[in-house]
Amino acid sequence: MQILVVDDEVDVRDLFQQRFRREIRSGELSFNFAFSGEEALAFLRSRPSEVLIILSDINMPGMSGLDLLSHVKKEFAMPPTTMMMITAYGDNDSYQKAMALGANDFLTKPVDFAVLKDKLQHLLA
Amino acid sequence: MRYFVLLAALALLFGVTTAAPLPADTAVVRINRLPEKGLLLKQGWRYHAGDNPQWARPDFDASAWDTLSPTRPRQTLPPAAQTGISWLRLRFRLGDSLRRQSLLLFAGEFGAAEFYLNGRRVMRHGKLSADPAQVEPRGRYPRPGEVPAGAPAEQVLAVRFAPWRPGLPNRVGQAPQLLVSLVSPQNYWQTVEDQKDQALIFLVLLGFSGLLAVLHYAFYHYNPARPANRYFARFALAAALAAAAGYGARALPFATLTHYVVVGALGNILSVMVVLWAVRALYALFHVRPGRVHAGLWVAFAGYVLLASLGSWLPVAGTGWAVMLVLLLAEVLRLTIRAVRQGQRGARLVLAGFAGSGVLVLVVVADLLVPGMVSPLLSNAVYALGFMLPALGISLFLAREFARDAQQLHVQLGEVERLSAQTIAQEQEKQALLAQQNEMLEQQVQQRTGELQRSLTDLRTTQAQLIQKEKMASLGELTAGIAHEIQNPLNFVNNFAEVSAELVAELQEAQAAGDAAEVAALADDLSQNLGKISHHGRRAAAIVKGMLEHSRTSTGERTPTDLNPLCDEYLRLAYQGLRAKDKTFNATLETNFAPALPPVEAAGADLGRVLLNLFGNAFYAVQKRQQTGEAGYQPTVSVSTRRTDNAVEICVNDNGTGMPPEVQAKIFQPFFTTKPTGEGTGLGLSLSHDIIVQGHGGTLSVESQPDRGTEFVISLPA
Repeated sequence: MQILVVDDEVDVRDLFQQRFRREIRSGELSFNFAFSGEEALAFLRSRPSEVLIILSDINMPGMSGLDLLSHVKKEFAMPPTTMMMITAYGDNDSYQKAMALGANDFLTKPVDFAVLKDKLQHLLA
Repeated sequence: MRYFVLLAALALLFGVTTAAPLPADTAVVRINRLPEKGLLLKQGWRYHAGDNPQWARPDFDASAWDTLSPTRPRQTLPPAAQTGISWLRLRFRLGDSLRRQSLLLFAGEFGAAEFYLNGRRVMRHGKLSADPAQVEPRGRYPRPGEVPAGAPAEQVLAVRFAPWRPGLPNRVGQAPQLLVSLVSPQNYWQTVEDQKDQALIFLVLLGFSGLLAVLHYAFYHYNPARPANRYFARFALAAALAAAAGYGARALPFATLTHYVVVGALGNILSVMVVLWAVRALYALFHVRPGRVHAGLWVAFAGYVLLASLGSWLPVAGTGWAVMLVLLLAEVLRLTIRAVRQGQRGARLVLAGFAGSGVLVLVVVADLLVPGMVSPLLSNAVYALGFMLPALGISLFLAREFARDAQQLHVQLGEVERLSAQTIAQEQEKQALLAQQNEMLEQQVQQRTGELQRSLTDLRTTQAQLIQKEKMASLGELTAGIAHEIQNPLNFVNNFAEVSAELVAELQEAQAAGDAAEVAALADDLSQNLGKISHHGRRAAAIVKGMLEHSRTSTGERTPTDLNPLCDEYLRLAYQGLRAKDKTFNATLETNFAPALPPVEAAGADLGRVLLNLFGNAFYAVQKRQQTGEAGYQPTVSVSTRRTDNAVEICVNDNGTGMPPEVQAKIFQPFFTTKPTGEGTGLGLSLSHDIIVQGHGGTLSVESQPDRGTEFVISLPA
């Protein structure tokens, strides 16, 4: 399963690769990384229908996670892409806004990878 | 004054009784006794025209001469006796008793004469001349001739006589040709003394008038506002001069008639002038404008002066004198009565004075009409009093005026004193009031100053509070950004730590399995992770430190600071801060940092505050522009650093709403803000300016164009 992680923090790549090294090694999950909304959108456009899950940070310079969300929901309606928003702001306002834009899930930083894994497992099932 | 009655005076000088009538043909006049007032030798005279010294001799036989009575008026005498020199001779025989005593001979005539008793000259009158016009007539009080005691029984009196004829028409012809009398010396001198004594009253008048003149001149001199005094002074002066003339005419001896006549005429003229000045004074006193009547009086006076100087001894001069006096007194009466009617002060007093004078004038007039009715003493007294009374009245009047003035002055002085006391009291009251007001003002000023001081203190406190508030506000903005910024490193710290724990477990498993390659790979990962944990931990710590620095009151201590990371950090903080408030907002952040920028001496926290403020404003501006819904608008905030010759510059650019020049001009003023009420304190840029300019010796400049964007440039000395 193709997962695109969007975050302006470069270290996110190392973190995900280590956290999901078993799943990556087993080929269960495949991760791609984009370091801005624009980069993510370009990636999606270059490889449509491969990515099923997008994990995106909300606060990014330039295009924000929410912008990306609305773009994705407009541009890539089929096949339906699961969008999970990850943000440092765990406030209700952000959550409501994300959900209204069609996000499938909402996680707050620091990311509890056990929970994330569960959710991904749930999606895979 | 009746100098003009000189004729009568001459004739009746001593009221001499005529000698007992004797037979006309008797050659020798017998005189057995003398009347008390003397004996006028009327008869027994022989007359002869011509001039011969031999005719003085006693033994000359004049029986051939004509008989003549020299007491007869001149015009009744033979023409030869009326002009040129002629001689008169009289033989007389004194009684025994008379012969034993010394007698005096005196004579009166209009002319000059020499008297020879028994051939010896005993008396001389004037200066004889054959030409009547050249004759110097007899004066006044000539020495009498002596008829010594023990003289021969029969004596001869020869008179060399020259009649005097004045140039102008006259009545000399009506006067007796020659009056010769015998009198006892006692009687003679007594009479002369009496006459002189009687004239003394004129000296009294002179003194009185003189004093009055001086007094009135003094009055006038010291108070020219009362011209009446000047006229009274002239009145008194004229009176004094008239009195002097009067005395002179009555009591002084005169060598010739001419002098005597001049003095007499002068006295008369002066006496009229006295009344004239009195009239003028009354005009002034009663505030009457001198008019035609006044002018007419002066014209009349001029006429009288002419008359008196030409023919003082004529009766017509006397009439003129009386007419003038009557006229003037009438004017005085008119003026005074008018003044009395008008109720002018003191008019009655003046009237009384002049009325008294008027009565006396009547006496004089009566005396003129009937000569001899009034005794010389009374006559003189009447004259003197006639002038004194008005003067007395006027003086009394003036005295009353002065008394009244003095009284009035006294009253006015009292009033002035009262008023000045009142004024002083008012002045003191005012001063007291002023002092009170001054004190009150001072108190008020002190009170106000105190209030101002308190206000100033309050203001400073408020300012400090506002600055603190501004700080806290920017801190609030920061908090949201910081929360995000801290969450990120914390996320890594937590997750790398957790994953590292897992890696350690795996490493132990691999070690147990003896998979050396896996152990080495895991160890590499662990090492890398530890590095990341450490890095993100420090990152979080730096953020917290920055936050603390920001909130802490700056010490302003400057340390070498690398501007690039500072700019980057605060750009992020500002951006995240805004994003924390508005999740939908995003903007392109551009950084263009000059490499190898030298460190700058700066207070990091203060500079951070400035940057945060500038970035905050930039984001606010782009957000505002974005909210206008402009198509294709990409909000962009960029920061760049660059090195110049002697400074390091930080440029903060945005493509936001920009500012018109009028706003640009005010942005560094405290409390100026374009933000809605409650959103901005208006102190951000003001404080930023202070920090850069005063705190760092740098500059903070702005360039902006509406709807294009704004650029702030911080220039710090390198």
